[in-house]
Amino acid sequence: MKGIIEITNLSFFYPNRKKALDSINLSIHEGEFVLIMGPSPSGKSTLIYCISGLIPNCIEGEMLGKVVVDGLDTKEHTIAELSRHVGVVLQDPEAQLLELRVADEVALPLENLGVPSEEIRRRVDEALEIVGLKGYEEKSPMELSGGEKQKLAIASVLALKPKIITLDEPTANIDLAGTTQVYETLRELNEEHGLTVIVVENKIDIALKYANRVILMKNGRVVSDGDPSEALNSKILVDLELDVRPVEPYSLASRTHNNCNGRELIRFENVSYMYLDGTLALKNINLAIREGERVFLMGENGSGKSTLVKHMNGLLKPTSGRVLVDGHDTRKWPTYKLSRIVGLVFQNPAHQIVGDSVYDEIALGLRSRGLEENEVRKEVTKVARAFGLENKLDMIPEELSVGELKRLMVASVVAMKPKVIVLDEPMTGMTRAHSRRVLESILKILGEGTTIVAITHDPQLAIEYATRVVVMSRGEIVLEGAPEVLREYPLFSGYLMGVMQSV
Amino acid sequence: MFRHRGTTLVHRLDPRAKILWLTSLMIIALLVIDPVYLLPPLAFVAILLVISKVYALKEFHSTWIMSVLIGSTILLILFNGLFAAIEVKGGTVLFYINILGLKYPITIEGFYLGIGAALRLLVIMLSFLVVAFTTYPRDLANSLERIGMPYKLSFIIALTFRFIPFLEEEARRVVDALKSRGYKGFEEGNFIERLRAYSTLFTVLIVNSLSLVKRVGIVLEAKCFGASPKRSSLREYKLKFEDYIIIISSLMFLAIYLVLRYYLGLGWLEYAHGYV
Repeated sequence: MKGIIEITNLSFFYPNRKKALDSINLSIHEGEFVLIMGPSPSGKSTLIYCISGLIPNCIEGEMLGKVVVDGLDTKEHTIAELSRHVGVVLQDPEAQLLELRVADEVALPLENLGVPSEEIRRRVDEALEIVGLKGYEEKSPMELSGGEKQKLAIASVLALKPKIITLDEPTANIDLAGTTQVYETLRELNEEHGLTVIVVENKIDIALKYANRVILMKNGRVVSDGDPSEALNSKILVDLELDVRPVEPYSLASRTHNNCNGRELIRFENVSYMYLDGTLALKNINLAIREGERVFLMGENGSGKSTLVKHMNGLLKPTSGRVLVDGHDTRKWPTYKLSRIVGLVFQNPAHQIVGDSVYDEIALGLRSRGLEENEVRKEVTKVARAFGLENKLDMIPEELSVGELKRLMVASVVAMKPKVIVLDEPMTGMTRAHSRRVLESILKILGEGTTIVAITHDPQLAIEYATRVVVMSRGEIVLEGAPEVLREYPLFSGYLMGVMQSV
Repeated sequence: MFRHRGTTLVHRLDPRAKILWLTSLMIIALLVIDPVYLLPPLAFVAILLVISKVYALKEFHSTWIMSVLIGSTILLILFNGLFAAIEVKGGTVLFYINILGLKYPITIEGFYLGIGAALRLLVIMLSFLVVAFTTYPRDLANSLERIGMPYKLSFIIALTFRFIPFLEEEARRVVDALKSRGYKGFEEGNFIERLRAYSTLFTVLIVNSLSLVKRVGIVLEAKCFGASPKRSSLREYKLKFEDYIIIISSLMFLAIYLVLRYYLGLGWLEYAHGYV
C-alpha cells in the first residue's frame, strides 16, 4: 500500500555543510500517530521540516532525494499549496503566535490565502471548537497557558483542513497538565477526524500512551521503526541515550548519608511577592535550604517556582518578609555579590551565553574572581571534561547543538563553585538521560555534598535525585517532604503509576 | 504595552474614522499655537479620552507614558519661558537673570508661548494614545490597507506592536541572567563597568532579535504570507452612524481652523518664530 507520505533517499545538508539527514527512506500511512524520537542532534526536527515542505521552500540548505506528501512533491509545490495537505506546529509559541486575538491568529493563514470572510468565520469556529478553545476568540494569546498556546497553534493549522499535522516538540516547555491537554487533543484529531499525526517528542511515556508507531533516529538516520512497545526496548533506549538507567542509582546511595542537618544556606521568612501588575506570585513562603540538600521544586506553570528561585540570589526582592542567603539579607546585597554564593542557571542559553568561545564562556567567572590564567586553564579543562565539552573549547557557542549549549550554560556557572546551584529548568527539552548526566556532572565537580535547588516537570528525576521535594501551587507551598510524597499528589501520582507499570 | 480590549463607543468606532480623527487633530494642533485656540481641540481629545475610559487604565498611568506627557509639558514651558525672550522683544518682563554679566529678561509672553507649544504636543500625544489604546493593530492594519497602504507595510506596523512587549521581556531576562553571572554594572560600579554590562546586554539582544526575525520569517512562510494577491479578512469593517458623526465633526473642525488661521489670521503668535 502506498503511504500518504513517501520519502525516498532523503538527505539534507545545512549551509554549514552539516549533514542533518542521511538517506532516509520512509513511508507513513494515512491515520497513523507517529512519534519521532532521538537524542539531539538526530535530525528529527529537520525531518519534520522536510515533510511539511519548509525544506526546500524556505529553510536554506541542500536537499537530495524526494518527499511526496499526499501526492504532492514538496520540491514542486509552494508552502501555500502544501499547507492545505500538511500543517506544521513549531516548538516555541512566542515566535509562532503573531496576533493579539485568538480568532485573528486562527484566521491569519486563511486571510493570506484570500478565503472569503464567511468561510473564514466558519472554519475559525470549527477549529477552536475541536481544540477546546471556544469562547476564547477575543482573548490575547499571551494570556493563555502553555498548553493552550500550543492548542491555539494547532487550531490555526487545522483551519486549513490538512490531512496531516506535524509538530516539533510541542510540549518542550509545558508542564504535565498542559502536555496531557495537547496530546489528548492530538489523539482526538487522530481518532475522530482521521488526521495523520507526526510528532517529534522525547518523552517515552507519551510514546507508549499515544503513539501507534515510533521512529527512532540517531545522527540523521532511522535506527528503529515500529510498534512503540517493540521499538522502545531497553537496548535501543540505552543505545540512543533516551533513558539510560544508572546501574546503581547514584542518588539512592548518596542520599542515605545525607542527613540534612547542615548549615542553613537560604532562608525564606514569611516571604510574599507581588508583581507590578498586582499579581501575588508568592504568598507567605517559609522555607529553609540546608547545606548538602537537593531540593526539587515542582508544580504547574505559573505556580511561582521561578519567582521563588529568583529570590535566592536577589534578582527579586520580597514585597514583604525577608530572604537570607548565607546570613545576608538579599535586600541589602546586590545580585552580583550573591552570585558567588548562589549560582542560578536559567532555561534559555540565548539569554545567558555571552563569551566568544566555549573556553571564554567557562573562564568568564573564574577571571572575574581574579584567578591566574594558568589556574583558569586548569579549572576550565576540568569542568569542560565533566560536561563532555573538552573537544569543543575552541568553538564559538553558535556552533554547538542546543544540548551542548545547555551543558555549557550549566558548566560556566558550576565553574564559579558557588555554594548552591539553582537550576531554573535548564533540563527542559533534554532527554531524561541527558538531564541525569547534567546532574551527575554537577555532583562530580562540586562533590556529592553539593547543595542543589532544581525546578523540573519530571517527577521521575525528582524521585531519583532529590533529598526533598517542594510542590507549589498558586504561590504557595502545598506539599513538602521526601520525594516519595509525590506519589500522593494528584498531579504526579497518575504519571508515576504509569511509569512504574511501563517499566 | 497598550491594552486594546474594551467595549466603549470609542473602541467600537471604525479604525478609519479614528485615523481621520487623529490626523485632523494633528493638523489642527500644528495650525495654531495660541493656547486659547488649542483648548477646543484639547477638549475634543478629552471627550474621547473620557468616553473610552482610557484615562482610567493602569497601563495608561504607566511610568513611561506619564513621564513623557508630564516631562514634555514641563520642559516645553520652561524652555520657551526662558529662551523665547530674544524673540519676544518688548514683552512684559517678569524679572531678569544674570548670565555672564548680561541682564537677560524673562517675559510673560515667553511662558505663554511655552504653554501653547506644550498644549500642541499634548493634543497630538493624547489623541495618539486614545487611538493606540482602543484599536487593535490588526484592525488598524486592515483598514490602512483598505485606504491604500501596501499590506506588507501595514502588517509590519501590526507586527512591531506585537513584538515590543516581547523584546522588553527578553531584555529583562538577559539582565537577570547577566546579573546572576556576576555582572556588576547593572547594579553599581563605575562608568566602565556600566558600559561593559550594557554593551553586553545590547549585543545579546541584537543577536537574539536576529534569530527571532529568522524564526518569525519561517512562521510567516508557514502561514502562507503573501500567497494570494488579494487578502480577505475575518472581520468586516463597515462605517456606522457614529463613525459618520466622528468623520464629519473632525472634517468640520479642521475646516474651521483652516479658515481661522488662513483667512482670519487668528490663533498664531507673532513672536512664535521657529515654529511652523
